[in-house]
Amino acid sequence: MDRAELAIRWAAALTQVAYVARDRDVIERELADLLGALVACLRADGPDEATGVGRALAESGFHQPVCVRVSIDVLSSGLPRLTEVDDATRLPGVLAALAAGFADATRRRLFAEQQDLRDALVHARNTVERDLRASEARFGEVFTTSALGMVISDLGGGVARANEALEEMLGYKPGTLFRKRLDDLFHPQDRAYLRTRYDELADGVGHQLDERTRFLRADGETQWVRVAVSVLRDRDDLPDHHVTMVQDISDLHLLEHHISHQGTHDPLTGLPNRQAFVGRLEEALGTGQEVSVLHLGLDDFAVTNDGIGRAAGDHLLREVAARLTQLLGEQPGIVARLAGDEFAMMLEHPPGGLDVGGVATEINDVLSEPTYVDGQGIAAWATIAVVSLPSADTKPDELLRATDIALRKLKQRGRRQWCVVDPVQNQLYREQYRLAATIPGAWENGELGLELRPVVALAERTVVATEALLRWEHPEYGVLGPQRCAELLLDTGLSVLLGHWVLGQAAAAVEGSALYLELSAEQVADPDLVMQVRRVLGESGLDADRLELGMPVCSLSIGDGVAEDNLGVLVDLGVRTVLTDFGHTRGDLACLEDLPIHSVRMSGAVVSRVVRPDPAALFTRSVAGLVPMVREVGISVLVPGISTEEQAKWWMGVGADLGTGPLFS
Amino acid sequence: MTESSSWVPEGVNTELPSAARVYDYLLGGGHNFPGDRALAEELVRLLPARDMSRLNRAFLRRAVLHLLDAGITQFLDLGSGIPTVGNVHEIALAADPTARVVYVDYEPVAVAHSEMLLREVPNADVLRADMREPEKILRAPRVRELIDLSAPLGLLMVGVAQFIPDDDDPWALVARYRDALAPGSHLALSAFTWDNAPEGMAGAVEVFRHSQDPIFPRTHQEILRLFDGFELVEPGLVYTPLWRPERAEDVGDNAARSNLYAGVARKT
Repeated sequence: MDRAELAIRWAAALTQVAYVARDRDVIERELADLLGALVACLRADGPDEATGVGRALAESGFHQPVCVRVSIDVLSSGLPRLTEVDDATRLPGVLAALAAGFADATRRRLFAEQQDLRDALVHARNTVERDLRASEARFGEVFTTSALGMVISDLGGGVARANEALEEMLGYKPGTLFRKRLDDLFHPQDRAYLRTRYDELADGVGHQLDERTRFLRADGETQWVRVAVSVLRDRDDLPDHHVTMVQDISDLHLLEHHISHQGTHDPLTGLPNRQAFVGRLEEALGTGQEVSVLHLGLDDFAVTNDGIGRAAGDHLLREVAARLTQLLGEQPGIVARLAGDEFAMMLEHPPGGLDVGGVATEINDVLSEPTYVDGQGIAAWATIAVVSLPSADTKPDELLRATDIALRKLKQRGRRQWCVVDPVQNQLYREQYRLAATIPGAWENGELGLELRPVVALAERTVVATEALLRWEHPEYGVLGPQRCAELLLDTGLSVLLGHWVLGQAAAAVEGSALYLELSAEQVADPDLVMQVRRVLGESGLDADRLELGMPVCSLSIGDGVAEDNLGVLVDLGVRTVLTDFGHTRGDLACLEDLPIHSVRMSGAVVSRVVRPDPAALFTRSVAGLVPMVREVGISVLVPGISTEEQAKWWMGVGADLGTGPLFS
Repeated sequence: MTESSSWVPEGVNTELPSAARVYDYLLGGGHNFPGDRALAEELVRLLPARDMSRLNRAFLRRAVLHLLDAGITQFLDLGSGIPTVGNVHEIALAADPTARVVYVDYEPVAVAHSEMLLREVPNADVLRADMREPEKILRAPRVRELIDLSAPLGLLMVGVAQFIPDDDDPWALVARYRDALAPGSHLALSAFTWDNAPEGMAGAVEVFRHSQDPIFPRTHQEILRLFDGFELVEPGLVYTPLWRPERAEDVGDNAARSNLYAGVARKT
């Protein structure tokens, strides 16, 4: 037998008991080399060299004890039969040395592997601890930032940890759920059931708890939730805590019971909101249903809110909601809260029609019954705009815009009013609002300008002053005159600003002539008026006594003092003062007595009433008596809107000294 | 949410035997603890466990060499265990220095071992993950760094399928991996079977019950179904020594005593 043959036998035996990850050819070559070394030992080198062979065998991967046994079996019978070996007397010693070398290598290998294992263990522990810390940090972050409510409780139900999301959901202050009883958060009716299920989980009966149930909020209200509960186990795999995830499903719950209640209802009163009302109205109109809409604006609601307090205001709103709902009763229709102090009622018409006036009156009757807040009886009154039987193609938003405009107009007239919306009138109002809303743009674009008119001494027909008025060259409607401009300005907040602008423009425009300018009531009461006048006088070089400022009598007779103060200072400056809109009431005369007035301008309404004076008429006679009285105390009387010689003569006849109007232009 | 606290990583448990360390011991390794050795010795009384381990390990080597021949240069070794003799990267890199290997195991000590071993090996890495989470594994940066899922991959599930209970549906699991792999990818798989020694295997099931890794041996038919959607290469699903033996005489007269079926299949 040669060395290669024995190597094949040796390799076959070894690979039957141990695995090395090398090709068999390679293994056989390696073993043949080892055989060579062993043959050398048998021949001469002595057995000690065989320890190296044993070591090499173990290090080549055949390191298991069984390998040395298998090797000795193969070698003890095979080595003596090698043709190159003639003397086998040294064989036992050689094999013993081989076994010793093998054992030594294996011992070293095992030691190294155990060292490896220790290192790996330390490494693994570090990794796991790092993972644990990261994991705990991650868990902590999830716990604190989760939108889900989370609570960890011990098996007895003591809260070990609860996150803010849960505290917020249930209305607790942050940090206050700690050490509370989990069971106290359960709704009383579900408490026993939930506790049983939690206990079952801990006992390993159920796997997981996942269901809808009710919790109790801090304020005692029911909170619908979905809970998912699982068991935390300790290092010995024994259950020691429950983790409960809590999801707020109150929206979901409401959704199921009352479709999108929150989106369509006013949270304060529980009434449908504007959106819901519009939807319902659209539906009714769309199906050809005959309906009437009553749009209510509470009168002086701010008085309650500001006077008694917001809580009282809220109480009143809820009371109004309740009473309107009660009034509607079983009738088909809807009551809604449109905005702060606005409500609406839509009534479907019964056969035979509906007495909307009766309903409006009834509404104010039920609202005026006082309700008590902290012992104070408060009540509401409403101004009501009614649209009866709108056509089927009416758009609900348009309809409410019309009632809104009508309400504003009504409120200017007083309280507890009601009206049926007049579509034509409403269209006019709407046009007016549309125009008024575009004034700022017109001003900026230079569409606003002055109209100058002469003020004439009636006797001599000489021009004594120039009156300046606002006009608007509208690109679409042509020139809008001073009267129209004044009406439009009433609906904007611009009358003061624009008035001051007109003053400045006019002072520059009159060029030496005396300037007569009528101020609006707001302008008269503006605390900045005096400063503005001073500025204009300074800039234009106009003498103060060449400036005549008209002030509406209404702004002076019922003011809070600012208008009177302004008047006094202006007079001190030397400005001449004109009381305008004069001649309506006897109070006008009181103003003349009390205030430093230089002239009066008769009210346009008075002038137009005596266009064709009937000497016997009471009104004509009173005017004829009034003018001389005014003149007697040295006050000029200016008559506006004179368009005929006849008018001029009549006014001159009763004593008026100044005039304006088409006749003099 | 699972019943136990999955966010807390399991610690290093040296008391409870681990299959990876038992396998290491049976292969003659020293990376094991007394509990592992005791379990292994119990196993040896019931089944030829040393031979089973050796033959399975040899199958791994032959399978990897076959895949390299088939042009596969990247490998994902699921349940790789403790790096011991004949690791995939050693075999693969010896054949092709550009080959890439990612090991996956969930046993922390096995992973730590692999990390230490692979520190200086740029083409191989280890990921600590449960092989039952293919989506997580295939998305892991460590995996993506070395493995290109648009190219054929060698997916190795050698000697691990028996650790997945029916409840976790190993068939669906393999299918999830399969679906993520590029055509031309291969699956090499071996698993414990009842078919040869049902009593001894039943004893092994009992023994492994007291380890971190209970086992679920299966029939030939059940194991064959794991290859659904793949095409088995010759000789199909056979006992480990019968799968393309290096030498005819290696098979011996009782291949069935390997107690593991093995096969390699190609995704078309």
